[in-house]
Amino acid sequence: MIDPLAYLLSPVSYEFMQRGLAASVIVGVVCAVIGCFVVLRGMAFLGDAMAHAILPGVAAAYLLQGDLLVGALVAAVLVALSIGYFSRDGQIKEDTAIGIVFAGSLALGVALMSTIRTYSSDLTHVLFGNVLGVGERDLWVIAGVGALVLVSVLALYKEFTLISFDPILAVTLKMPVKLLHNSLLVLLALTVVVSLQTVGVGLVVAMLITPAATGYLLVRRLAPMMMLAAAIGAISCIVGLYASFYANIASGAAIVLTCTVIFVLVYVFAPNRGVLWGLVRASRLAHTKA
Amino acid sequence: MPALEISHATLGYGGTPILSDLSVAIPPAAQVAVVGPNGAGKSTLFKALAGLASILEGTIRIYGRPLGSEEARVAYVPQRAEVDWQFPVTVLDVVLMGRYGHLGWLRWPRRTDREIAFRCLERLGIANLARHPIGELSGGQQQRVFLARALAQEPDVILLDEPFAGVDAPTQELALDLLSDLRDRGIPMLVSTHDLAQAISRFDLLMLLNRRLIAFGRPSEVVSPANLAQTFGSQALFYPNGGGLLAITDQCCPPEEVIEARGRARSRRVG
Repeated sequence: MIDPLAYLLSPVSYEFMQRGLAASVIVGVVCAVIGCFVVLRGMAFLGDAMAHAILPGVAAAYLLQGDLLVGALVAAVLVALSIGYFSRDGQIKEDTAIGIVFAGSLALGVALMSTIRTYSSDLTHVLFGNVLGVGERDLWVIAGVGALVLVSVLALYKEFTLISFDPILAVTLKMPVKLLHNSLLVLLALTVVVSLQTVGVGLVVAMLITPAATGYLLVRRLAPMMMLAAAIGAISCIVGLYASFYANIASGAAIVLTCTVIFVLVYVFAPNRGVLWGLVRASRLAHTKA
Repeated sequence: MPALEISHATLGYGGTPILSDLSVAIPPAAQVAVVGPNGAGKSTLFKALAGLASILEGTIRIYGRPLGSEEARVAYVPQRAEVDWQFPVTVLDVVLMGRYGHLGWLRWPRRTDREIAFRCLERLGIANLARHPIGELSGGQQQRVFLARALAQEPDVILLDEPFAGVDAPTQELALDLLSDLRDRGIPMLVSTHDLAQAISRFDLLMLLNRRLIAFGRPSEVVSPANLAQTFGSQALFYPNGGGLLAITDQCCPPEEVIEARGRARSRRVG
């Protein structure tokens, strides 16, 4: 019989696990909070594209022996700007512009990385994360950028809510809608960049939208939805890391699978809006009619 | 001084004019029905007043202050189709958004803002729904939430874009009663509508548009076979009816402008 306490504590006795847990919980929370705006504004595709598009930035920084995070951030901002540029006068639809820029920069990233000798293991780390390789300094950067994003969302909460719900009112109230939209994109870019090490660019979109969508199913107000999404993001990271430790599966995948399972459970069992609830209501209705 | 003074204004999107050389002066507390066929420029006029369409030529002033200045406050009540009813906000949240213009950066709604929001909800008889998500409300209740928000903005002018499109007859009647109830607040109101009969019987002033101003004034002065023919063109049928004239106009279906505007709202959101 295994001691449950030892079961919980033994992974945490490793320093790399402590750092990995701390980093992924921060990322889980920050992704979920910014992800609420991504879900409500229908920007999931843009978030995914931005994540993949940072690959050339990371590769270039690696080749030039610069800072990977700085390279990633520069690439993310460039991508957001170029998508805006291609779709500015409606000649090309925005989702088409996103697709072009996204695939093009992914290809550029792969091309750059293929010149590196340890190409395949490096590419795997960028694509799917390497949470157990988070160093002391990485953790500080993740915590610092995460705090910056959360404080910005708190400070601009009413503006971000308004431009998402009713951009027309935002214009009549003379808010700088364009500037606010771009700030949100920069915050999204920052979030994606610090998620690089935990879940990787291939899976970060799940951390952005799955906890937020789960929260959306459970509550009907934005602030509680955000808090719930943050809690789901954090729990998914913890559960996922333990699963990864004991079942010896890739940590990023384990985290994403955990929050996907939570989403499916909520989708089926959620009070009022769940599938099961709907079935119960339908059968009750049939009974009363009969 | 007129509440709203539009002189020689040409309005449109991008560089394309939709409504040309419009000049009207609207007195305080006036309730104006803006009538015209699909594509006449009703929505363009409202969007320009709200700051969403461009003023290509001419000027618009609100109590003498140029439109776009900090003190010229316009409240725009959107068409129902333009609102995302699944967004996770409550009725009170929506009405409080009307107060954001008075708050500034880094400020949360204060107690006075909440009191004002509640007063506006009470005035429209839906204070009991304050905590409900907007998606749970009926069409008429949703309409009233946005009217309450317009009042909470404490605006100089209220614009209602097709408020009667897609709502049932009792709700329409209720909305019309509310409009006359709001008259004593002294806030001028512009209401765009397809319904000529309603415009004639329930509004002080009538503005007939068809890409330009056809006529503006009291219904009795404005409604003439010549003006109606110019306004509706082939979109209306006229029959001699006793001593008068029977006009049949199209009232069905949201105009194309709605769909256009919706597309624009979405592209603005992401673009």
